[in-house]
Amino acid sequence: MNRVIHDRIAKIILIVVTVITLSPFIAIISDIMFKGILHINIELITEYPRKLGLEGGALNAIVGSILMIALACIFAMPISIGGAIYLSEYLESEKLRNILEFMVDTLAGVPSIVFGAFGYIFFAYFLRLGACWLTASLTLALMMLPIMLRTAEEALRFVPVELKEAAYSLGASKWQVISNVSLNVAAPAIISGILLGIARVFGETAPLLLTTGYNFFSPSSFLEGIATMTVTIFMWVESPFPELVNRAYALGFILLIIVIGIDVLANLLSRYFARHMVK
Amino acid sequence: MVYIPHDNYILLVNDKHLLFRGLALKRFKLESIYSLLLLITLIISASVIFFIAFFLFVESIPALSHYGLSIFVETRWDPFNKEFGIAPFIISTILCCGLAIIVATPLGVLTAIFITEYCPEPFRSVLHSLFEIFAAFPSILVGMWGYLVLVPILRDYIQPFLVRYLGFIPLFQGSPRGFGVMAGVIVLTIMILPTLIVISEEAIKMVPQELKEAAFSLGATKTQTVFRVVVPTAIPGISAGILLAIGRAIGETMAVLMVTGNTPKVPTSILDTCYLMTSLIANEFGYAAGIPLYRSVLFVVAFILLLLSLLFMASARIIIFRMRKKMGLK
Repeated sequence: MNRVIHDRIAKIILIVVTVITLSPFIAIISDIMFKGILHINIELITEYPRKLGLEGGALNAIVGSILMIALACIFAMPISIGGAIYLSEYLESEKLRNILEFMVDTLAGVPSIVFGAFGYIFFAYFLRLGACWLTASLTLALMMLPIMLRTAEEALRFVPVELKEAAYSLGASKWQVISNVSLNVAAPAIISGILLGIARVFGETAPLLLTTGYNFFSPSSFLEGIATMTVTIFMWVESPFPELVNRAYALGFILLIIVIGIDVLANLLSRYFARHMVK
Repeated sequence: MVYIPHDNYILLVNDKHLLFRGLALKRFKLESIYSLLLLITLIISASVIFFIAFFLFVESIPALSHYGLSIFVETRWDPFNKEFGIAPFIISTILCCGLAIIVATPLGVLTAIFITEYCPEPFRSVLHSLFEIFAAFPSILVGMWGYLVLVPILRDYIQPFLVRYLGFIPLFQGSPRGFGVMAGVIVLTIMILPTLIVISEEAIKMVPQELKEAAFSLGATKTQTVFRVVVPTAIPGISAGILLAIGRAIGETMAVLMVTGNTPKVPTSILDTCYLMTSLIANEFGYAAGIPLYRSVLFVVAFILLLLSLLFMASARIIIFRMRKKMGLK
């Protein structure tokens, strides 16, 4: 009897702790959801700001975020997937692979503000690009790289050997096997990795403070400053105007939906891949 | 005359042979070009970390050679009189991250235990995916909540209460501002909990089923099995999670920046304002960019941040690697 009570008490304590852990997240999400829905309007997503952002919408930030992520993907995708293919298909030494994986993993642990400082000093200052769209995208590409590379590598390693051997037995060369078999089979998981990379940097603010500059319109060249949703939220939240704070909530709500949406999509894809492979 | 066709024949064969060899050679060449390109992408990916370390180090040389190591212990920060002591920032970071880890570890580990060992199935996957999603939660949104909701609550309700009833303890002295160490610790705890939970879950899941069954067969209750067998076995993995969480806390910028008040002095109580290393870079880079020495000091801070996060990251990796080896997984 004593043991049963003991067990039950432990379970209750654990439930209480879990509820405590969950509560701040629920508080944050519900706060942003309620106030965001309350203040969201069509002007916010269809109009450029007027009077230095005091009036109008935030189209510059929404377009800016998308443009910046798109360019970052263009840089990061080939490099990370190429690196993943070499790691999983070409590299024979286990030891070397561990070392290289470790080096890529350490990149994932670098604080985002350090990426910002590096992006500023290398791209903006050393390569003389200035704080602009290109600099921001290159910096973000570096941040996406480790996630994309490691997910793609794991996915490629999960491709069943039988499939590859079947292709080899038909006389396919190594590259043909990789491009026609491995990449095709691993595609859902690789895409999931790309989405995870995007989700990681979509909500980033710190490196962008140092690398984007700002722009009240969409940039017309790679070397122009760019506005992003996160930096705009930061500026608005700390502004003394309650109207801007309300709009920050609305923009934060949009950001939240996008980030969670991308995350869920990535999860579904990787689950689809796992089920597919087990079968 | 006889061997003309013969010659022709040979020529033909040779031609065919050549053609075939040419194709094979072309294919071989293309293949090696592809693999070379792939190798280059891999080298780029793996060398980025050295690039970053190199540039940050080179940029921090001017400040280090001008001030020497005294910069790390000097507490006065007055950029416009060229007094750069970064001790307040280092101490603030250690204080906030340390407290956050102390708060987050029991919460995170107990939650992970609940999710893996006690939670019934539909809720388990839901909780697991929820915390995975929270791990990628934009820190600016946590910062926004901290700035607009948490800080006013702390200032108006919680901190006056603390000052009134616990004010005799030096740790709780000061005026209730809202902004400061306390808000920073809460926000940091929120930011690192998901990482901690997800990794502790993995560690607990890795404990072999046989161990649990052995404990049950000896008549241990569920709680006894979990806390005397499962958790002690999972401790290396859990500590790896804690190390990763520390790394994450040290690097956290936006959420903390918005709630700590950011005054460059050493905090003495949890009601004091503080100024973390990451916030320093984010806040002052704009002013510092044009002043070489000032900028260089900020790069010293960035370089320390890099080293610290790599240190925690690397030790976590080593622990996980060893544990996998021990459990026979890879």
